[in-house]
Amino acid sequence: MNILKYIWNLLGNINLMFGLIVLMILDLTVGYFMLKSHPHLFHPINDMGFLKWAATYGKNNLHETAWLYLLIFFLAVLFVNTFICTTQRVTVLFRKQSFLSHKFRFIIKLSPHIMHYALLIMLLGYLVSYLSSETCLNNILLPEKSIQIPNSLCEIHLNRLHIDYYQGERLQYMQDRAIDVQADLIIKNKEKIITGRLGFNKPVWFFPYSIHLKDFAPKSKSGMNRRTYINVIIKKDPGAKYYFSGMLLFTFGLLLYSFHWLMERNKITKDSLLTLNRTEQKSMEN
Amino acid sequence: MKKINHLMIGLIIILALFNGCKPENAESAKEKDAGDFTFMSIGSFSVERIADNWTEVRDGAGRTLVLIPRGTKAPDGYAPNQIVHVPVKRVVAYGYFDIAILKVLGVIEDVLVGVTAKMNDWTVPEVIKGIKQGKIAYLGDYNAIDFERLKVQEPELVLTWDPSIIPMLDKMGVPCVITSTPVAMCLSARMRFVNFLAPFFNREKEAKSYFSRVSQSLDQIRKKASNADHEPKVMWGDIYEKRVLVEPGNAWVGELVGLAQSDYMFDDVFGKSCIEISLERFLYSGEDADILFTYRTPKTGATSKAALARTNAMLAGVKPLKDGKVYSPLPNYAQSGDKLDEILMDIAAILHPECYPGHQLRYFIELPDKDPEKEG
Repeated sequence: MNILKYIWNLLGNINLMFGLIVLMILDLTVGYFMLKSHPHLFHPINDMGFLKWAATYGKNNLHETAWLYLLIFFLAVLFVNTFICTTQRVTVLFRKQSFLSHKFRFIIKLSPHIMHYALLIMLLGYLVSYLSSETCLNNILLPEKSIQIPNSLCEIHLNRLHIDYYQGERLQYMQDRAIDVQADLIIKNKEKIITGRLGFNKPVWFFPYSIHLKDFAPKSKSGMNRRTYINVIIKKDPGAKYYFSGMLLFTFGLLLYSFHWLMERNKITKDSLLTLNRTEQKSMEN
Repeated sequence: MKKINHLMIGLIIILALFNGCKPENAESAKEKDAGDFTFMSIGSFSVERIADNWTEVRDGAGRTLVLIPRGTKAPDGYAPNQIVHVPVKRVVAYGYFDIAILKVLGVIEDVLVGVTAKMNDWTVPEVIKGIKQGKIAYLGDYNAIDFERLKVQEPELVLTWDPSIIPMLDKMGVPCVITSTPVAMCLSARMRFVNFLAPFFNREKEAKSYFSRVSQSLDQIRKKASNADHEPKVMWGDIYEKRVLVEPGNAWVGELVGLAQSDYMFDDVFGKSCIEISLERFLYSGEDADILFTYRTPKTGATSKAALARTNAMLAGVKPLKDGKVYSPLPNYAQSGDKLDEILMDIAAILHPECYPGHQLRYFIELPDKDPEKEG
């Protein structure tokens, strides 16, 4: 029992967290150079999933990928450390039982811990995402044509493609170059049909799938005459709901924390004003 | 003392990690190529033996295909357009380099059935002969492929850089491999690309022999260049009407220039081959450069420095045009990927002529100051 307690306390030690942060900085510095010099080794991790990547690119290029395995190990320890550390403090808060009389104050005191738990949910989400998401690259959609989402009965139809070309005179080199693209999609299966406008950083959702724009053509009115198409990535990511909930929880915690900080600041300002008034009164009396 | 020990251990681990922090080069490629492999990454491409007779490949766009011997059952979990029966017997190819690799593998005459360049544009005798005999069909320009004609040719595989034809090929049930990549191929990937195409034709032996030939040539270049007495500054690109295109530092030409004891002026530029940069960046490098490799061939206007300067007044200001050297690729350059060793040697001889006395250029031509006909 004592050993368990010792391990629990050791893993929850705040100094361990500082050590981990330093090690992660060093590891990520190495990672920066590795990513820069061997981008092709790490790019496939986004679509083939971590396990398959580790068995192929990772295993066969250990010199270049070791930093990533180390990073995952550090993140795992940081996860445990944050969980224990936060749980210890939350337990103390509950033990004080002050939450029964000062519920609002208790919730506000809980805000940093809410943010920590949110971070853990986000990390868990990314883990689920890298382990179990399905990504289908290079789905080419031609105007007014449809494609099937792989291994499903869903169909995506490109209803309309609008490419905005620069027509201004200020930037001569941008003349006739694409500056924005919007694709109107119709996605349907046996049960439902939805329409959505796809753009860069504007995915279209059709639960459990998300459709992302990867590329399009033609990018210029002049130059190479290319066929009109869009290239989309279709993702089925079970981790998304975890990290989105984590983000929401983090925002909630952050709002509570900001509220607490503002209250504390107002209190300090009021206290100092009172002190100032008293000092002034005293000096007037004198 | 304990703290110092910890610090030392940490430093050793970091140094060990940094050991792999150099770009993939021909030397590392050599090591990886030796012996049997279960997985091989070649730039953005990869080849993985997933079973005794099944090979999974990943093309330049990240699409997965599985190669299975003819007459055997396809593994589960793959769509019909992902399955390629090997050895492939009928191929349509877009890119000159892909076709050159078919030549390396010794299958060009047997398997090539369709191209996207007219007969007059070809310098490869096998392709010219095939077109003349009607075995190889011209399928139309890349943006206006005659799919009816393509269907008649009954290809079992299409090698292309244009992803927009994928939906049509899927409909026709023809698997397709994207052979271009989002970032330029480095020297190692260029040399080992043959290993990616070899399993499609069961020609791994030919791939190995090509790789060792190019590798030897590279070793020679490295050795000879180490005796060079100067480091010429090199730029590879051109100014067009509305855009400036160059070869980035990560491209094979950029790496080769560095390897041959020369200074590549766009070493800091990263991205796809023929990447666009600002005019100012080009002109800035042009102030110091000694040698310019232009994309234009004599056929597209690069007949002399004066002719090149006439295409764009800004280009006239770069040093290679004023008092340096300008080289233009000959028509056979783009179609001679099977002679990559000779091309590398040509480039090395241009950079260090003192190391290659009497070398006759076969793939490039040095541009004279003025067009010969205007001299008189």
